[in-house]
Formats: sequence, structure tokens, C-alpha cells
Amino acid sequence: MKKSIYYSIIAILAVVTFAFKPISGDTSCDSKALKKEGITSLDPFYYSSSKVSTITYDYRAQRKEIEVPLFKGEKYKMVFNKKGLPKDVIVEVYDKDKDHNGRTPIFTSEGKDGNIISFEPEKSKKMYVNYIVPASKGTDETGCLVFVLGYQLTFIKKTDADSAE
Amino acid sequence: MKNKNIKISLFAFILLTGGLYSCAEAPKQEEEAVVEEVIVEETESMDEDYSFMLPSPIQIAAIFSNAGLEFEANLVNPVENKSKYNTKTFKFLNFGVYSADLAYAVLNDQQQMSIDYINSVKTLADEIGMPTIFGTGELIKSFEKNIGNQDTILNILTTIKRRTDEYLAENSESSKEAVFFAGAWVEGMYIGANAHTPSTNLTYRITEQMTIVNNIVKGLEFQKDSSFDLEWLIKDLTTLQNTFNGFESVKAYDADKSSDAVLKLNDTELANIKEQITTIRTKLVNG
Repeated sequence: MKKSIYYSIIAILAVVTFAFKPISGDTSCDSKALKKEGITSLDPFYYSSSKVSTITYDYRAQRKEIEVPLFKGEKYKMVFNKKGLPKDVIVEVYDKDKDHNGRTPIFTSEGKDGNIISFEPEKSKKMYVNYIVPASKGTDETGCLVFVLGYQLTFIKKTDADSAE
Repeated sequence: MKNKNIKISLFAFILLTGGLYSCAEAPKQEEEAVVEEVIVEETESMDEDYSFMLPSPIQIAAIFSNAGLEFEANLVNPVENKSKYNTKTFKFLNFGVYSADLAYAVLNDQQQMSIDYINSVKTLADEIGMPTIFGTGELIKSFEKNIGNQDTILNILTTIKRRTDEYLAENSESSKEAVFFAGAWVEGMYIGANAHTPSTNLTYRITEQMTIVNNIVKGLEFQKDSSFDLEWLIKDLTTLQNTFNGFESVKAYDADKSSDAVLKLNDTELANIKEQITTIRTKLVNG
């Protein structure tokens, strides 16, 4: 009887271990650390906001779009941290949303090396950041892409970004 | 007896394997169903939250200030009001309201007022359950110590904003950002619209801010925490948005495809915006 209880416990442990094993090939995403790196790259711009996008690769290419309100005459810097991605994602910035025909690409990360990509728009107006997620054959793969936006206070000279901390 | 026990163990194993495996698989099937829908639409996958960024309330205050907004002490929400906010909804909204007032005070070099307002923001942060955004008190001490140094003070405000975002993200509550932001935006717009010395630049900046109302409404509608009472605010902001979209100036601007078109509201339209913003703000700060 004791043996049967012993076998039952082993069976349960085996099942529990199997059941909670991650199903997909998930890439670990420490969004806090990735965001911190992005914020460091903003300097000397002030942190405005950030967005962590979970990227789930599929067998067909996908497009994700984020609307970014930028106010006229202000200076901005966009930083994209791609370290949390198992496969590269192309970042594109447009002047109009995806439903507009003939929208103009303002920036693309294609051909740019490194996991941290930055872009400072020359003119500020509402912009649309697009992530072009490539097709992926086989297993489900996920990762995250961190976008940090910074702005410049044009009438204030910034000295030390971390002096307050 | 021995065989019987083995059979019982095997039966338990099969039962548990089947049960747990089906439990583990269920969400995957659901995910696959969503992916299938995406492929059909050939557009984009559903995001885990809304697909837009909300600007920094500190920057909005700075833009208004830069556009010629002068300081008027009677326009801010008195710090004494914070004791009136007894519900979660009004604590969150007025965290945003006081944050906007704090930025307004800092940018106008109102030192004692700035200290009073950062303490009000801290009080509401504590009551909301976010005391960590102020650390162990070092941020308040640093704020008071550097009160005459505007760039350091603005760095501290930025740090509070960043820590708030981090806190919400770590607790899977990022959707609440829209609630804070709504409070801060309404307060900023109230101050800008009610200034006694409106300049052309300030009027333009108020008009410009109207372009993000739609996203504030979407953010509030996306709110995952059903214990918030936001229906009234969503309704009021939607009415504001519809009013704005119905203005002749806005229609003319939308019809003008030239890249150098500038949206200018006439006095009647501006007065209408001011009246609606004031009504919403009164509801917000009255609690």
C-alpha cells in the first residue's frame, strides 16, 4: 500500500512538472531592465512614456502600429530596445496611419545595426510607429520590444539626468 | 494486492495526465483561434493593451507655460480638497489633477506651493497603494532641498512619472495610466483655458491638445479594473470630442489637405471648449 502511494506521488509530480513546462520557445523579457537601458539612451531628453509590446511570431508576417502624439515645435527622441526579441523586427515610422494610402515613411530601422535603435524626428506631429514582425516557421516564438519616448524642454538646460535619484 | 495498487496508481496517473494536460492546452487553443483571426484579416495582431502612447503631463504643462501661460494661484485645485476624495476613482483622477498642478507650480517657480503639491501627490499615491514611487522619502527630501533649482526639480517630477509607469507595469496595471492621465489632462486644459491672459500661442496649444481626447476616451474605455466609476467621465469627454469635431473650423481644417494648414478655433468655439472643460473639471475636483 505504501508503495502505491509512493508511485502515485511520483506520478503526480511527473505530471505537474510536465503540465507547467513552458509550451512555446518564449524568450525571457525583462521589460524593466530593457526599459531602463532605453531611458539611459534618451539622455539628454526627458522621459515621457514607454510601451512594451509583446511580439508573438506567426507563420505569416505581421504589422503592429502605435500612435504617438508629438506636439508641434517640440523636440523628441524615440528609442527602441530590441534585445528581448529572438528574431529581428523592423521598426518603421510613418506620418499617417496604416489606413491611409500614400503615407510617407519617415524612418526605418532596416540596415541599422545594434539592438538599441533611436530616432529624432525633424518635425513634430502625430506619428505612427510600425513593427514589422517577420514570418516564423515552426514553433511559437515570443519576445518583447520596448519603446521609450523622450522630449526636450526647450527652455530648460538639462544638467544631470540622474541627479534627482 | 500488489497488482491492484499498481493499477490504482496507473489509473491515477492517466486521469491526472489527461486532466492537467487538457487544462494546459486550453489557453493555447484559444491563442491559436486569435492568431487564425489575424491571418484572415492580414492586418495586425491584437495588442495586450491600447495601441497609442499618452504624452507626459509634465510636458503638456511645459508647453502651455512656454506658450505664455502665466501663473494664477486660484486656478489650481486646493490641497485641502484631497481629504474629500474617498473613492478609488477620485483618488486616481486627483492624483493626476495634483500632478498637473504640481508641474504648473514648479514651472512658475512657486516654491512653497510646489512643496505643498508634491506632498498632496504623495498622500494620494500612498492611499492608492503606490508609496514606492516616492522611495523611502528621499525623493521628497531631494525635492525640498533643490526647490530653487528648476531642472533638478523637473528631473524629480520625471522620476515620479517613470516610477509610476514602472509600478503599474510591474503590477499588470498599465491600463490605469489612462485614469491618472485623464485627471492631469483635464486640469492642464482647465488652467490653460481659464487663463486671464490668453495668447495666440496658448490658444493654438489648447486646440492642439484636443487631438488626443479620442485616445484618452479609448484608454478609459480599455480600463480593466471594473471597480472604477468612469462612465460619466467617458461620456463627458466623448461629448467634448464630438463638439470639437462638429466645429466649422475643425471641419474646414480636416477638408484642407495642404501640409501647412493650421487649425484655429474662433472665439465662440473656444468659449464652448472652455465651458465644457470647466464643467468636467468641477466634477473631478469636487469628488
